[in-house]
Amino acid sequence: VRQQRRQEAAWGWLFVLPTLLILCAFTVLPAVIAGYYSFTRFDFLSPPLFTGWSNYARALSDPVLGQVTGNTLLMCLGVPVGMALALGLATLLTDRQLRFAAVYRALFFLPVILPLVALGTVWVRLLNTDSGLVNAGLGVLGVPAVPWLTSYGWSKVAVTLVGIWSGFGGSLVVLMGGLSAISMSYYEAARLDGAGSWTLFSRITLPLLTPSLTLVSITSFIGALQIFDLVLVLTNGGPGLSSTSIAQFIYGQAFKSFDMGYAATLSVLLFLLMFALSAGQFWLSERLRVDA
Amino acid sequence: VTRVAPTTPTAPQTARPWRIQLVLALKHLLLLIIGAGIVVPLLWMLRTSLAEPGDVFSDRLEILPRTFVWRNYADAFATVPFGAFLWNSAKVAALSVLGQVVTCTLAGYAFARLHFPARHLLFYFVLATLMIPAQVLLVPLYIVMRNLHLVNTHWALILPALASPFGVFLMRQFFVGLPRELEEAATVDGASIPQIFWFVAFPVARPTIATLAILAFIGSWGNLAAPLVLINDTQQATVPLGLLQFSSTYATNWPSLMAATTVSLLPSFVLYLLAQRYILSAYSMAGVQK
Repeated sequence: VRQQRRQEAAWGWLFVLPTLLILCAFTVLPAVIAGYYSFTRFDFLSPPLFTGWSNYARALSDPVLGQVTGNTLLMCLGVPVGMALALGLATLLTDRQLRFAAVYRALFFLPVILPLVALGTVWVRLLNTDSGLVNAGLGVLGVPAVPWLTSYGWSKVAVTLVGIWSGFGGSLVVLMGGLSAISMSYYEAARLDGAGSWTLFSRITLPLLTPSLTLVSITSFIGALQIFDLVLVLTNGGPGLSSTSIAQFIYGQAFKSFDMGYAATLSVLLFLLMFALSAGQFWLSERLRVDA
Repeated sequence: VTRVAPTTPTAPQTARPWRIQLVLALKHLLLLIIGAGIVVPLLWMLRTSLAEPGDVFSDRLEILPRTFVWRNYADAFATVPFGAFLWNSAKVAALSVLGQVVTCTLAGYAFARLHFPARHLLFYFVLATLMIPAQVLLVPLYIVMRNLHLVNTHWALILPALASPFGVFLMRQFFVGLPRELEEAATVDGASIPQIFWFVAFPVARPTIATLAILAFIGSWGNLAAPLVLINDTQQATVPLGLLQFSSTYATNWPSLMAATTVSLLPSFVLYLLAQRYILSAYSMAGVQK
């Protein structure tokens, strides 16, 4: 028996070994490396030079970083909008009287699995100021042409809207999963007590959906904070810096200015920002949570 | 014993009160409008990919182009090495999928079934790596790949994609929920652990493995950031990277650009049509689990 146990342990280790090796080499090691290089000046030409906290000090007083952080946080405002849309549609689609709910769900989810670069390219075409379908449609309604991708004011808005368009289906699917797990008996009992539909929604649906909502909110914020692909395709961060995101700024520092040390510092700071935001939301949801 | 008469006779479907019917109709209207918001952009891409270049800028909105110009697709492949992009993407995706299927089923099975020291600790370690966002790793990953002399090779894209914490989680959940009887019977018959894994566990896990493979393919096919950083030779570029370069270089040639875009969407789209159920169930599972 002891030999059998030892054999099982050996096989167990062997089975998990490939996963552990890959994760250590290409996730954990880079994370550690980022921490190390964040305290250095490094441009690939000469060996890294230890500079202490100077990169962090530079980040704190970098006006461009402030601007791109502001841009990114504004784009994050799309998260609650997308979630509200997803929640509204999820409650609509879990109504048993509604037919074709599965078809609608499959349709709304479609953009989530399509390559973002391709979707972005489609929207570049649609949002073209002079010949895009969006402005043509608005023109029919009498709205003058909007310079979606080429003006300082609109570029962020356009990126945010396309982000919502491509991502709300993912939240929808998760929220529908959460909704269908809520037992109908709560609703029936509350209805017998004379509760209206708003009461049902705010007193039963929302509290019991908190775990799903938290998951969606955390993953959406993490996605929005590292927005990169869409910005690159839609506006390339422009005009000026008006739609440059944090991730794109980091990319530029690393691969255009070859300031790897500073880029590593910014990566660490971005991670800390995401971690703090996720932890905060998790803490909040634990306080709001109602166990069924 | 008196029988209780049914107080509310169940009405047939057609005899619903008109207000409920109206509300349902309005709901469908709303859903159809949002659905159109998803479909119309994609149809417009298709339409533009088949239009004459001059037709694109016409002031009139026409649903169909005047003539179908299939040549745009050939043009897209002639302007940039799109065939090479497709081949590169297919190669990277195939090896990533294969790698993830092997590593995730093995690890998932071990975490679900085998007893070994530090099992729980290692599982939490694997899950913890999910917390580190890909975007944050981009710069240090480049440094690692540069030191390994793998920059500008497809290995730089494939190696990190050979493991997936979410895939391990997915497979573990499947094996945890699997009844033990089959494996116990095999043990009684004297089968070894690798035999049980290969002949008993692996075959029954096929639907979940299919889900894992599809998710891995979709992730690999759409990945832009990694090739953007790690590949700088156009001949080595994958589809997303090639498309980005195409759109920034030939942005005025809308029909061929949209033709290229259509081709790059197609594999994910077809896969979604075929395996939509698997994808959606894996996706909603991620939400229910937490």
